[in-house]
Amino acid sequence: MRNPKLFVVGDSFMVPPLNEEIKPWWIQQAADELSRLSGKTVEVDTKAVMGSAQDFSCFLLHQLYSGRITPDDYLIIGLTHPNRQWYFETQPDVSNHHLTDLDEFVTKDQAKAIMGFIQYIQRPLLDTLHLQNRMAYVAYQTRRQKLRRPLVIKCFDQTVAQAGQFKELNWANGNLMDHIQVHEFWDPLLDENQVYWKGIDPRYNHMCLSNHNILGPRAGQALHNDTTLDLVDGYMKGIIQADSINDRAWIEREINPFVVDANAKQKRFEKGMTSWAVRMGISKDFSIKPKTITKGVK
Amino acid sequence: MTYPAGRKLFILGDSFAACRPGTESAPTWHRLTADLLSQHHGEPVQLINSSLIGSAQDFCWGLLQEWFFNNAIGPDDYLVVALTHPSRYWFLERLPELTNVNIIDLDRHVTKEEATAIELFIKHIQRPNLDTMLLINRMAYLALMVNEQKLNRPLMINCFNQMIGHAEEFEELNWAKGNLFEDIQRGEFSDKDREVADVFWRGLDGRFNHMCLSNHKILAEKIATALITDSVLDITSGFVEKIIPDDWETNIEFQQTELDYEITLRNLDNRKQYKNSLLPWKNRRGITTNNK
Repeated sequence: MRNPKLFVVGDSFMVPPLNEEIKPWWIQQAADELSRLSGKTVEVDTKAVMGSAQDFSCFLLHQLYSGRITPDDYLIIGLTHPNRQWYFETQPDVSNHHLTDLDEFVTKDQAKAIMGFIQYIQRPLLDTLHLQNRMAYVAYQTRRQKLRRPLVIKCFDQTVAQAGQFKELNWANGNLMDHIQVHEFWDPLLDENQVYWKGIDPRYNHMCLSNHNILGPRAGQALHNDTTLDLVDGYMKGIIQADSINDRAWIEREINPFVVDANAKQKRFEKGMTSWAVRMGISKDFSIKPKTITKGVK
Repeated sequence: MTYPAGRKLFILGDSFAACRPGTESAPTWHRLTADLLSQHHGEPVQLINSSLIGSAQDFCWGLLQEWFFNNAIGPDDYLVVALTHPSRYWFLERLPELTNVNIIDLDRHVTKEEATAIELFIKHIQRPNLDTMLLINRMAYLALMVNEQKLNRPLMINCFNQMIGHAEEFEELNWAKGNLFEDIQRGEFSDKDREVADVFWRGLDGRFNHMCLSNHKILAEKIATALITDSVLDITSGFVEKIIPDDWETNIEFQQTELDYEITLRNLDNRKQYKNSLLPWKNRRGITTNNK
């Protein structure tokens, strides 16, 4: 009989650190808290992929519910924004039209297909309908297989329609971007990628480690006690000051120094970053702040 | 939206289930099923048929969401879903009936830019694996709601042969055996392949829901039994085969007893427009996909 597992699906808010990064990320801390509370060693099993769409997570969940997850296991679902689309089967990390360098990873015809999809086919109504069906699948399998309620954490603000009422799902209160990520800045209104980082976000999962230390144990407790995880209150705010990026000790303590160094070497971001969708003039208001993300760095 | 009081029969689907306006009293399977259920219960069973010709699964699930949100379907009601092919995509919100790339004149209903977007979508983005996963998710939503609201098991009828994955095992759904296209529609021809090549009707199918009325009657009886007894509906046998005569174009009696006579006459009048252009839009554009 194996140890209980903490399965994780989601996007960049959920991905594990790279091998050389040894800081205790929040998912590991959640597993550690579960181990402490349950008296059993809980192992992390994450399939999260940076930049992925809900459909990719759902694909992983379909596999998970095909006999891999047991009633002893735990599950965290990081729910990325539903407007992300898993365009190409072999590129689950290309789903966000706000990638700055999306066109470097697809052919011209594929880029045209994405443009056409965004301009003429994609719409919030359909995105939300698909989201609701995905969550219904999770809720249904949870009930059918008598599993623990999964902890569902919204990465961004989004409409979840009836899925918010599915009692088989343990929804966190708030969302990671609006309630933790942006409030870490001394000025939450600035566009951190363009103005502050001049490159990709060097934080682990877009959060400083001080907040990992708060979020991880809380997530573990919510899973163990089957209670609501609060993302709104109790987190560190304003901890990224205007000059923090020049403070090496602070960098080592709070964020990923490898990414900071990589950003510094990337001349192309000196003049700021513009998302592919904005460059193409096809950015849509999906009621979230457009977020520029670069896939190519690292 | 308000719904009538009393027991109801809800029907969702595509052209296999849609009721053409003005033909509400025709002896189609949906009308006959409601009548048979009414007889069985000794009280009127109201028919609420929201099926739409050409629609995609997403359109139906949008309606289901509305019905469940409003608690429109009660534990005494019945639901029949005629499940269209998952490769159909509700491309444009204003045109829920335009989802099938095999439509002959798809490009007449959309702008050039929209047609290009649809073409590139089906060439580069759409794929069967994703279609099937979305289908399974839809079935899970329905199964969850049936379980949650303690409803009668909905009768799920595949319109076409399609992969439904492990949704087949969802015990809250009552899956019919077989599919309407392969097991009834095509069997009505003396040569099953004639219609596939689209040389037969030269335009719109003159039948109600792609089936002759003799088969509507049989289908309705089978559906009513399956709904009342919560048993499996078998559409692979028991239907009239090779019923469409070769002289159907001049056989008035056949047209009046088995077909949608008004549509048949209209088609015969309009056949010239389809004389030289019977290829589906997808084929004319040279689009090849793995989807139907």
